[in-house]
Amino acid sequence: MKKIDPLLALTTAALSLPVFAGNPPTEKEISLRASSYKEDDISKTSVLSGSPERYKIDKTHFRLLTPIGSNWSTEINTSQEVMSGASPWGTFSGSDEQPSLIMSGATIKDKRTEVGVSITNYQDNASYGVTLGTSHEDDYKSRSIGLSAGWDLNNMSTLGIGFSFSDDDIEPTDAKKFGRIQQAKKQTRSFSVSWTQIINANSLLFSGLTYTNKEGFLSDPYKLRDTRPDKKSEWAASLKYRIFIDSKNAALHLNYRLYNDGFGINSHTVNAEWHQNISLRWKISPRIRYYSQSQADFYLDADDFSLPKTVNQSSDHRLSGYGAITAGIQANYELSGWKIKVGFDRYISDNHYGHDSSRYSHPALLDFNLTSLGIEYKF
Amino acid sequence: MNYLKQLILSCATVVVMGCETVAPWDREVLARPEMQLSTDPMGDALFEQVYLSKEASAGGYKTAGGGCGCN
Amino acid sequence: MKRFLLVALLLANANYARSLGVGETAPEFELPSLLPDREDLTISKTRGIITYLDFWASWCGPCNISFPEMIELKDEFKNQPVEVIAISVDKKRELARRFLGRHRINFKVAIDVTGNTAEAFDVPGMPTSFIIDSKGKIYSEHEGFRKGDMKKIREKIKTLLIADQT
Repeated sequence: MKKIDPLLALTTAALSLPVFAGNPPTEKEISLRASSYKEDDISKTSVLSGSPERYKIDKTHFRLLTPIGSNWSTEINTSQEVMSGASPWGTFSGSDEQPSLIMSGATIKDKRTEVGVSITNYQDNASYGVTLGTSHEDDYKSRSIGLSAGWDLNNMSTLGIGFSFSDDDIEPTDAKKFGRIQQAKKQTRSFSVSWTQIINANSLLFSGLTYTNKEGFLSDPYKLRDTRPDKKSEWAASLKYRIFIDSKNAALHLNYRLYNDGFGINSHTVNAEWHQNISLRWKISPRIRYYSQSQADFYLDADDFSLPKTVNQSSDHRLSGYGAITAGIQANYELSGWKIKVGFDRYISDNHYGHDSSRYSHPALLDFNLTSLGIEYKF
Repeated sequence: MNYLKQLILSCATVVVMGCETVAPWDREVLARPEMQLSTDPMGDALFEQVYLSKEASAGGYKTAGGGCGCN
Repeated sequence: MKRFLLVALLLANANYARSLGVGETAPEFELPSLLPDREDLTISKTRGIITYLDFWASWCGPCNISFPEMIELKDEFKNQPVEVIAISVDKKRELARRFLGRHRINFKVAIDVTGNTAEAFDVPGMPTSFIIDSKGKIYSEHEGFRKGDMKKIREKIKTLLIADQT
């Protein structure tokens, strides 16, 4: 399933809060972002049948942030994505035991529309927010609600808590034709707590802990054989460090995340960004990210059709053990309230990069390019 | 997860012990846009969405939790 | 989790002690003006009149809201014994000057590069304003600035003006 829950993108709004919870925005902000995501084709020697052409997603995202009166603000996000490409249906063992893929034949086309609205109330040293969101695709519908609160304590730290819930309906296309499940449901509940601490006049640290619980249909309905548990719990702990280096007139961002879930996957994510001020108007930010995950307990190098359908198994590359590196750069130009942002990132993944990799490199492991262009206006 | 909690707790303690009180008038650097937790909310949303749907891990990077519809 | 909360509580109670309060005499200061052709500012020169004293910074978001309202305030009381003084706590003069360039300033502006005056006033946040009565005593303190706040401040200044007249 390529489906994306809007919950995450929407609740990111809570993250964009300033270090202090009790500070409402003072200006209106309108932003538009266009991005293009393009996966490299799969090597033809790994494809038994179907198309080697993979996913391409074009996204347009509009955002409006505005203060309302003296103690409120609202944020509206809408986005639309157009996707096309082929996706893996199954994995088979070739003559040399190397896994090969069966890809979907024709190019799949789909469109996703997402809308999110959030309202935040600001007290002297606290803020409380509610976010409502929906996401709509031909085969996937999702509704979500998020609640968040933040408290400034002793002027040096902020405590944040959050809860979110989403209710999703899955209706795979061509379900009857291919014997896929016709209708399924999924519910997600997530709880989080965070602490942001000012260390000194030049640095701060965020620590966060998130627990997520998923129930319902968690398998991939488009694969020939894919059976996963109908419950999953996830833990994620993260640290974000920000330090300003006066001599370089630049800020260094370091993030680390430790993740662990009920499927048996654990992962490490590290990323670093360097925000270099070139002049009052120009800013350049190179960035690098390293990701590594172990495989799920029920991951198989190749689908095993001899097992009963009730036994958990999946050959999804996203459940294999592997590692990935992203390197990118973003340039910002600012002029009297206007801001232009251009970014390019390259992602490569391979099982040799991982800390606890699967035996074989999955042929569907991704490489992609992500390009984005944004314009923002503050007034 | 006990190990994880211990780790976080130790980090928190170290950080808190090592903090200096920063006067309200000394916060020019902390107020800079490049020193915020998120310098580009729309960019973050884009990346989180991509990684969420293309990798197995989710969550932890934000204040109010999130979910995943991908696997 | 319990221990985490404990750490949180300890931190929450670690408020630094506030010394300066309403009713006390405003500390003395002598600061250079930020505007060209203006003399240095001292608080003793404002004895006998009511002073609205605002601590601000170029990097302070709410200061974008307070400045236009301070200009209106100065305008409203221009024929009365009311002085408006803004003290920038910026470390870099050019940042403060760039901020001033976006407004048509009609009041006095000084700069406190060392932060000593802000410290003497025990400024709790950015911005913070004080109303100092004609005897030099702090009549009220206001931390932060949101739309509508100037209404309350205006009322307080009017109350003081009436008290001075009787």
